[in-house]
Amino acid sequence: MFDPSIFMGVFEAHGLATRAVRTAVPGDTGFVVGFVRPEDLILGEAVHTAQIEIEYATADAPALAVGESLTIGGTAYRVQNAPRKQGDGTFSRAALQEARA
Amino acid sequence: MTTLIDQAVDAFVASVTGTPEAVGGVFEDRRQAFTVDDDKAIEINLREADSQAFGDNSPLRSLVNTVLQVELAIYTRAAMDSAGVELPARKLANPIWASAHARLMADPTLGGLAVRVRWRRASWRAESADGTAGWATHTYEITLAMREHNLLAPQ
Repeated sequence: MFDPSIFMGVFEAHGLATRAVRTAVPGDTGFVVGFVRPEDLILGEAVHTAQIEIEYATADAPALAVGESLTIGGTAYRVQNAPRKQGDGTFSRAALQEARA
Repeated sequence: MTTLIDQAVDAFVASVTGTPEAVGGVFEDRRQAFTVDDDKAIEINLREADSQAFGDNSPLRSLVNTVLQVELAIYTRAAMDSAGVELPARKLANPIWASAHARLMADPTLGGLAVRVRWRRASWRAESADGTAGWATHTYEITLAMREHNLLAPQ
């Protein structure tokens, strides 16, 4: 069966994807993610916010959980919502928030 | 020329300004959207004024009892802990409100400009974001007594 997730490594090699490292897992080499950070106005356009999201091969991080810490590009994030499988489940998306105090 | 309404609202803002828990600042009618860096801020908006006249039909003798509706809105951004738990917007805002309210109630006449300042109601809103954004909006009523012909000074 065709597995599109094999392209993730190629995307990373060409700078089209980056790598998320699980902070709590010693020696974790991370997994390849597509990372987006569109900004938006919410609450009656009174609040400026970023809707941070990663997309990754589900098999690379099958147990990613709410609250788990990830480091992406030197910045710490937490998984904000339970990851959502897309389509046939090959890929998942997870919303993140920047880890603050 | 500064009317009694303006003086009272200025005094309200001055009373709340300096609330130590409002580390993001205190603003009036801010037009710029609040960012994550503005966490724990207060925004004050004068919403409306309504009046009732007392006395006879002579503008020289009649009193106008004026009630201002002022919103004191507290802006917070939650941060998730390692267990994936965020404090509710209400809990983040409450210490700020309690502190700002104490400052107002230390002189509920706003330096003699108002008959009194009263808290009337509140509403809470929150929306998921890069750290849940929350607003706790408290409506205060400022009651003023003015002469109908003179909006400048309390009578």
